[in-house]
Amino acid sequence: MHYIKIALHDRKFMIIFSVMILFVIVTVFAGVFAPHDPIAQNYDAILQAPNKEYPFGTDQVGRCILSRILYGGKSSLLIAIVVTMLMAVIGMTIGLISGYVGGLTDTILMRITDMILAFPHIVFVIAVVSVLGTGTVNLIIAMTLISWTMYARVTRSMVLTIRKEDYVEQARLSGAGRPAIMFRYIMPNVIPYLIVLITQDIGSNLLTLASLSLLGLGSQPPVPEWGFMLSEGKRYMQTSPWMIVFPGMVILICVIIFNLMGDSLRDILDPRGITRKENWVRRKKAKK
Amino acid sequence: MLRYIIIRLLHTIPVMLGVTFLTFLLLSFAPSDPVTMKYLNMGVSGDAQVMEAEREELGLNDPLLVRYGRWLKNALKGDFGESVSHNHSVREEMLKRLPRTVLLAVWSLIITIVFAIPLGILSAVYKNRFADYFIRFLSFVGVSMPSFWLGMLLIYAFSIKLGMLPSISGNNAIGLIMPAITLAVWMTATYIRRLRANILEEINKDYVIGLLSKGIPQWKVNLKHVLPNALLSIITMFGMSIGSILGGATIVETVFSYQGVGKMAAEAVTARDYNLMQAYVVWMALIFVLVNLVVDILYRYLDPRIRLGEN
Repeated sequence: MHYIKIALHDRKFMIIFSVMILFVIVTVFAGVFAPHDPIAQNYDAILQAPNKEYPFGTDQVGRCILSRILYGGKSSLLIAIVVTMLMAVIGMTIGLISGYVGGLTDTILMRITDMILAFPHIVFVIAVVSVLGTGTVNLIIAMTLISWTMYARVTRSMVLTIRKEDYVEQARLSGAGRPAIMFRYIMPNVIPYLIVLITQDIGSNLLTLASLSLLGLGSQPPVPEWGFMLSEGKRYMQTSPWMIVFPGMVILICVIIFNLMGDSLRDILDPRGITRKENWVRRKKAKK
Repeated sequence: MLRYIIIRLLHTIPVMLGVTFLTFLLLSFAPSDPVTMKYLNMGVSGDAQVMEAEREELGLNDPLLVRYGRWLKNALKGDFGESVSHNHSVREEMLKRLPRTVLLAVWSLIITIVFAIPLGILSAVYKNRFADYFIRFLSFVGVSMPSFWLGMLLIYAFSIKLGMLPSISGNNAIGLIMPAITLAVWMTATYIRRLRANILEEINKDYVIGLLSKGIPQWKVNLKHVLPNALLSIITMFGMSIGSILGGATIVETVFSYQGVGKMAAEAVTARDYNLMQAYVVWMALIFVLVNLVVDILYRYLDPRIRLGEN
């Protein structure tokens, strides 16, 4: 729990964290903030440049781009968060089992991850979507099917070191069952490190989601989605550049926020110890 | 060394068998089969009995392993079947498009190396000075930049506003400029960040202090000892980047209407062209596995701890 204490005193982290919470709140309560209906078409206001009525302009059927971006957060930002949590939980569970149970189970699970890792990421997502058919739910399934492997590998390698610790041994000797050891004694030590990975992954999953929607494989119209808004905007880019400028900028800002947060969380939790080591070396040099 | 290469080559065989089988298994769950697709493309609903007979003739009703064996036998001969959406063989389509994607990938790798290595070094050498902050800021934005958006902005600036470059990339060198840059930005940014971290980690090691205390100037130590070690782990990153290049190519090619395999794959999904899809996935996995093999061998060769330890 001392991590939370450090985080609360880290000003950089708290700023980024509040911005992120703000984005999530705005997305969840998009209806409160959006000035217009995101789906309602208005043929009197087609392709309007940003103005007082429509701050981000309108698209080819007169829909308010600001409102579409706000509502679009649900099928972009929130889904990216959900997908990442989902793959982390699945990956972590498999990694725990693989690392703690070991033996044949471990071999089989690790060979499967090897196989999946032999595919370039997006290529495999496209292949799975081609079988399941396009759509948001299928995209989530496809991404989860592939990306749990990284979490499984990281968890497994951590379990292999943690399981040798004395307190785990003591828990086992005092009669704790396998599930209890895995989930009550080992898991709490794995989670802080996974949180760093999860935060960094939300950004890249947001990008994957948006780019696959751009290819027409994700959410289907008229549901607003940032990637799809860009692919619509591309056709009207010449005369109405605001159609691509604003959705793209929102994606960029969100990815930046999650990357910044990942970086500052890494500094706080520091799984690789680089920053800590750097500080230590600096202190040693200062003493000299 | 030779023994290692042979062992690694033998290791790729089960991996490739697994990859092809996994792809085959995956695509066998597809809701429609070639016969249905053929009639669908002709725009007629075929007679159920005729269609069933055709399926039987094509061997689509055989057990999965038999079909996989047949597919593998043909694939080894370079025959991936017919493409339903292009009206000619998958092989022809792949041969036409694969070189273009490879060309795009190679150029973006060249751009990455040319920019990432000097900037990464600069950033580490001038740590916490203006140049470092500037490069770090740029590479941070580069890492977070959606490639498709960057591509669109480039089209808007250079094709629409300035009229300097074509917005639709034809099969020529000029058309390659923007897609290659778009694909390279993310990689350049990650390489800069990694190289900077590597150099800073290396510079704090004891042997550097030892060399410095012997009176060897800092720049000489950096150039002769720190840099080669820092660049070593960049080589393993190459293997990883191939995956993101091949995946990223799908998006960049679509944005720039560049006729490579990536755009082909995105179209194959909507056209439900499973033969083409399968050939694409297998080829991408093959390239990915082979490049990583070369990277591993290169790494072993370049790392004296491993190379000399063997002899």
